[in-house]
Amino acid sequence: MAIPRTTTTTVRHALNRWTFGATPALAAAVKKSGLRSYLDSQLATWREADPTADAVVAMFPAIRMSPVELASSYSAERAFEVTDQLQAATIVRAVSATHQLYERMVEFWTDHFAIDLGSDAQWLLKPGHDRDAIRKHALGRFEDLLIASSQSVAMLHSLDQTKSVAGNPNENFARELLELHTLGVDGGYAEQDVKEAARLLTGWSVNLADLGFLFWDWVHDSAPATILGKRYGASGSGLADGVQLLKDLAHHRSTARHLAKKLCRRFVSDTPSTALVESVANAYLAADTDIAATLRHLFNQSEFWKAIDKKHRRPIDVFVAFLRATSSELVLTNPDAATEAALRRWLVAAFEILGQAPMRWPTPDGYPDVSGAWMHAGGLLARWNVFLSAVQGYLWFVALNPAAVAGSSPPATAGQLVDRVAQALLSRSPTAAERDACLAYLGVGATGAIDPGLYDLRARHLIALVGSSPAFQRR
Amino acid sequence: MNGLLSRRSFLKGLGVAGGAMLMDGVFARAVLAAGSTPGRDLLVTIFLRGGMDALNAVVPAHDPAYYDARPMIAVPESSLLPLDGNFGLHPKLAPLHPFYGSGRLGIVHAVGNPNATRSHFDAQKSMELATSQGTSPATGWLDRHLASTSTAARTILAGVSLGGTLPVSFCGPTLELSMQSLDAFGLYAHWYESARYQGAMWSLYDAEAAPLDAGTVALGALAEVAAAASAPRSSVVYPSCRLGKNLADVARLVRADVGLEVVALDVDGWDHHVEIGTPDEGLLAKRLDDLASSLAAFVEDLGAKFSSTTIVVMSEFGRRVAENGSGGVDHGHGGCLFVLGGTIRGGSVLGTWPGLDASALDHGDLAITTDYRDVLAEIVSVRLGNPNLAAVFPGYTPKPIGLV
Repeated sequence: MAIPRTTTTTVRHALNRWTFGATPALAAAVKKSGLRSYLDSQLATWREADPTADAVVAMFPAIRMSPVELASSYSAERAFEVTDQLQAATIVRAVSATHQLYERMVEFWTDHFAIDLGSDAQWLLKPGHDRDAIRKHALGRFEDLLIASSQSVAMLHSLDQTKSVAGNPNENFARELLELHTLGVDGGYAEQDVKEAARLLTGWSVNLADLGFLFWDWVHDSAPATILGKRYGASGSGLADGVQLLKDLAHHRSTARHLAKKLCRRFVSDTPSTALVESVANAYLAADTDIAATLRHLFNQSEFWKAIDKKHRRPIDVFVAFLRATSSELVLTNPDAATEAALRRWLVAAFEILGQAPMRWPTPDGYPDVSGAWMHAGGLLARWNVFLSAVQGYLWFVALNPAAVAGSSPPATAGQLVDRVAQALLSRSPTAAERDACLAYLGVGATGAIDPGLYDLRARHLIALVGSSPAFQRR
Repeated sequence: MNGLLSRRSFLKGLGVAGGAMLMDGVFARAVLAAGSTPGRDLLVTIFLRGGMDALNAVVPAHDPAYYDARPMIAVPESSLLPLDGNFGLHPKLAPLHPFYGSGRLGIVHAVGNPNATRSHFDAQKSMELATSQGTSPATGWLDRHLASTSTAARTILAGVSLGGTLPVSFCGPTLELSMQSLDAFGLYAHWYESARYQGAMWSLYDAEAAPLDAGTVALGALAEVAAAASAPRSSVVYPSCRLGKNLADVARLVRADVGLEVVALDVDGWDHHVEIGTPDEGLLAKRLDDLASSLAAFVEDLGAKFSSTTIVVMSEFGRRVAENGSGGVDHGHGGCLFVLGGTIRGGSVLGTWPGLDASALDHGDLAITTDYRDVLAEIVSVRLGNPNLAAVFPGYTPKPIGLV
């Protein structure tokens, strides 16, 4: 088991999986440095400043603010100004970050520890969860990530934990902790374990002065709790026993399997083999829950390298990949503040139309990760239309230049144009069937010329056409 | 006519999209094996996601344990709309009350999915698959209904859902379509390029197997829906919630006669763990108001077509009998179903009431005395004209309840 030789094919596959989509420049760079070296640097430098993303993200001040700062800088009626910034920043990073694998894992954990940004008070709280839990630990240890997320007021509030008190515990958080965050629904826990965990976690709540985490001793049920056969707080429990529960859950074999299955589903295919999942689960436990090490193990498995084009692109994947492949720029600054806010709003709205606005899945299980949830007629039509809108200049937050795809001087023949567009978007030559369909659209044969007066219109539509093709829906 | 029905595989996560049925011509029409059953109702299923609090929606005012268990959040008897002398309707469901009186609205209480899970995701999935635990076609009950019935005139718009993702009840080999809304359903190429562009799209998607065969479904439906969307609208006013918009679109599709057979809609936001509110305002009151006014507008909009329409409103479970410490209620078990139809035997609250005494409860929750499949099966056989209940509800023998 190892990372294979660096070829056009393996680089294409690696960039499909480890990034939000290949760019011509990145593909060339990885071919030159080699796959192993690229992966090593992605896994080693994730905590450092991101050379391309950080400068861009500086234009969203809200994402660095604490709840108190947000409350004094914005108002509840203008909450969308905060949420638009957070969602736009997420997209901007996906499009432009150097630390692509890190951004991929931020996305993964955002789904895994899903909080609906649109629900009550989350405009104040979710930015902190994104910054201090998920982004801080995305390639670190799962145990650290789990504790950080579980002590994030955003998470506690979204699952009603802040109102859970001794004598009247609220089971919502405890249930999702076991079912979604750690063991998984088949992880071998019973209703009684949920009830006991809810009791043990009473008191995990919020400091109303700064909306930070606070353990409320006086509402905590300190009677010992038995969860999965282990006794917590034999002589009276406290905060530390709840933290110990999280540590135990992070290291539980069911959690390892649950996380491994989701990672394999994200990175390999919708139906990874049991053997692969088991192998990744073992690696996770052997690495003391270290996520980077778990991924390194996964990327060394032959099943990963054989799964070429086996995944389908979810809406965020497909639009970001389209922007990257076409070297498009996101236009999100403007001297007029109102225009700037409108550009952000339209960017987020495009993803709402596609059906996957960042952090807006309404339930704690996060956006689904299997083809069937996304590959339906309405969803495809939405993508086709977003691409058609982008190429015709209707999306003011996108600057797309056909020359970046097809070359600064128009190619001499239609066939050459089709080849260049396919190479940019699909990282390969078109198949015969793809070439025929594209030429039929252009209305000329492969050796025919394109009317110069229609070239811009046709090149733009061709870019949208290839982006809309079945091949581009796969990664 | 050439036809190739490709089986979809259900992936153990969520729904799958259509198998390909590609015909000549711009309109792809699915043709299945012979065996036609004419004259069936349009079925509209509305799934309330989150676990609607049935005890506050259809209140067992005759059961004193209800008021004992919910000192803060019970709906006062004086606010209730009378049903049958035992149960009362939440005041915000007032737009539906006249239908109860005229026999067009039927209610079943203490009904639900006997699968004991209190997990939303499991309960919803299990209810929409509607297979007994242990039996395993991983297909949804609506898809199985469509697959087990056929007419020569079945169109690509037989099964439609409005919303972002295809519901689990549509999983399976039959084609269904999902859309955000009627008006947004078109392809935005430049008019000068449009015909060649669409032709190229057909070529690119022609040979695709599942799941990207959904491409040809989309292309075929474009023309059908364009015609329906360009027809003049009615003057009926719907509330401005998502359900209202969706039902308005359904009514337009009905008027355009596109061959609609089954529609699946969702309403989010019923998971009232905290601050469920008062009868006049708050989370539940708003949801019930939106639900009832949207349905009332829809019935008005359907006009004569209401007599051949059946609407079922369901939720994955009800909520606990006792309120919790946050002014809300946690996940429960038994709930209620609403059935609204032009030709049903409504006007009563059906089901056997198990009572709310501690000894009668299921882990603290309202027990289930009627399996929800009994209600659905009766609708499927009587209103949808599909006698093949063994195919639609495998591993289960439904009992009649006398609702339709």
